[in-house]
Amino acid sequence: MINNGDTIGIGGFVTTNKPWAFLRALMRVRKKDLTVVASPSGLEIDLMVAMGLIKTLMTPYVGAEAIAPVGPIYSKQAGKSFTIEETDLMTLATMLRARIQALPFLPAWGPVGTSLMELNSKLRWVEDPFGGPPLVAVPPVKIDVAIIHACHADKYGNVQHLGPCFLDPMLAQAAEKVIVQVEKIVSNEEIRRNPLATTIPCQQVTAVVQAPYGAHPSASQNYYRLDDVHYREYLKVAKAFVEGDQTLLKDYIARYIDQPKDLAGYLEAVGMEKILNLGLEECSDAGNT
Amino acid sequence: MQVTPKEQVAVFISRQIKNGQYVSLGTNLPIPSAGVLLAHLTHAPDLSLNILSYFTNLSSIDYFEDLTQIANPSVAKWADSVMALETLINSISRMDLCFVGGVQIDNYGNSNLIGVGQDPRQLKFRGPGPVGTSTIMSTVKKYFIFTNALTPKVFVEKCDFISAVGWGNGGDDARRQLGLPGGGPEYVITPQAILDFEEGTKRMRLKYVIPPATIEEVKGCVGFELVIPDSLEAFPELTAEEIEVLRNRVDRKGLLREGH
Repeated sequence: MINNGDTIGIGGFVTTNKPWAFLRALMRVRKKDLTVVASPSGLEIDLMVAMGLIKTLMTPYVGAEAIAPVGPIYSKQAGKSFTIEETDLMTLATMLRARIQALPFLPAWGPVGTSLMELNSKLRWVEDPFGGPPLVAVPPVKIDVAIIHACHADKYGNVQHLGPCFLDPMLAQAAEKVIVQVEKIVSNEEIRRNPLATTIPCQQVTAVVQAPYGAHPSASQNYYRLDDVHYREYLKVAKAFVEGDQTLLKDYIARYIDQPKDLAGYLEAVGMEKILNLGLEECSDAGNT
Repeated sequence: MQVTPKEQVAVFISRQIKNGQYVSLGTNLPIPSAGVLLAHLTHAPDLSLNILSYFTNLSSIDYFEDLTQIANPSVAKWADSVMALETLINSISRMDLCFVGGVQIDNYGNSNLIGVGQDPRQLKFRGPGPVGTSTIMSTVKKYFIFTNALTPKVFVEKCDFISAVGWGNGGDDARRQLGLPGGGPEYVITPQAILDFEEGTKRMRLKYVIPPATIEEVKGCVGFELVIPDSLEAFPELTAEEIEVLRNRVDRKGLLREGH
């Protein structure tokens, strides 16, 4: 469904609900020259940069918060092996909104007075016809395929996040095609039991894939927390790469991207015991409710 | 045990917050989190507290196990509403207070999360990106700049890139000229000193030195000429209640007491 040179949209938020299972599949077949439009991102972007798959990146953040203030390989390669179209969260949302509403642009405050004007080739100044100071015109962004991770969906593609849904509904509305990977495909009756929980209706979804533990190593709401040990393992790999040693990265890619033939193979490579220990709460946190 | 500089800073933040205000907390800022929670558990029980995608009232919580775990998805267990990111960012102009950090912060309170260097294709250091700050800081009623790093590398004369506008090129009307709806940065907060902005010029000015730091040390930690007022007030004493709530309910693990 995705070709070299396509624009993909990635849902989730930093280290929560990132559609890693799908992204690993994309990495395995080395789809490249991608333009990536993403909500605040975790280290999946760092790995895609390391593999040379991203041509242009539009995301407000790449890092893992307390685990990593910034993605190391992304930080090293920015402007060199890929181009950044600088954006903050609201400006990104405004691009999606313009696309959803089929508008040529929407005005925004965010970039006014900042370096976004020089670091994002898409932004222009626009006069306020009502006499106020100039604003920034944010154009629509076209997304070929959006990739989203959520808790549940039925076979028709009615999606329920059962928690915050981030920019995912906007991404789904803005994209030409939408692929949703879910922890569990549930019956239509199950969805109908609580239609208020449906965050993306089936009319906007092209395909649903059952991918249990498919957000690993990021967290999946209501299912498991983020695997900080795995993120730290990756960070060691990334830091070695930045210092000029590519062997650890090659090993990581072989072990977690290329050798596993499917999601089950990946989970085995991580280790089932580790996976199953990623229950929602750590025991020490359970006393105070 | 003596109060530590980080505890004093948390109390300073707490005292800036009024009951009933709408405060938004991001991740990875334990000292501002401590300040906001301290206000919430003492004089601001009706705070509208927005953490990540969740709206919550935490004033009846006995204590927080781990300060670093407040701004993470586990806060969901206390939420009374959950917002899509779109709804959240649509609320920015109603927010009373937010916090921002920076890899660089300049003389006029502009901040930079983009990177260090002149040529965007050859940066010396690429930062994580603006996150939400460009729009939040343009629009929120007021904001505080927070950093643990009072160093000349961070506090520069001029940011290489600006991801959030403070007082632009200076002057009381800097933001009005740009048309920005929000009130701009009020304080720059570090564990060594609290700084504000001089009326008229909006240059960064020393407000409080937090011992053991000294005025001379603070001046040496800033890569531009800091405005030093003729007389400096001493940092106000903490009350017994503030210390008690901070240590026993907000920061039980002693994150703000580490190294002392």
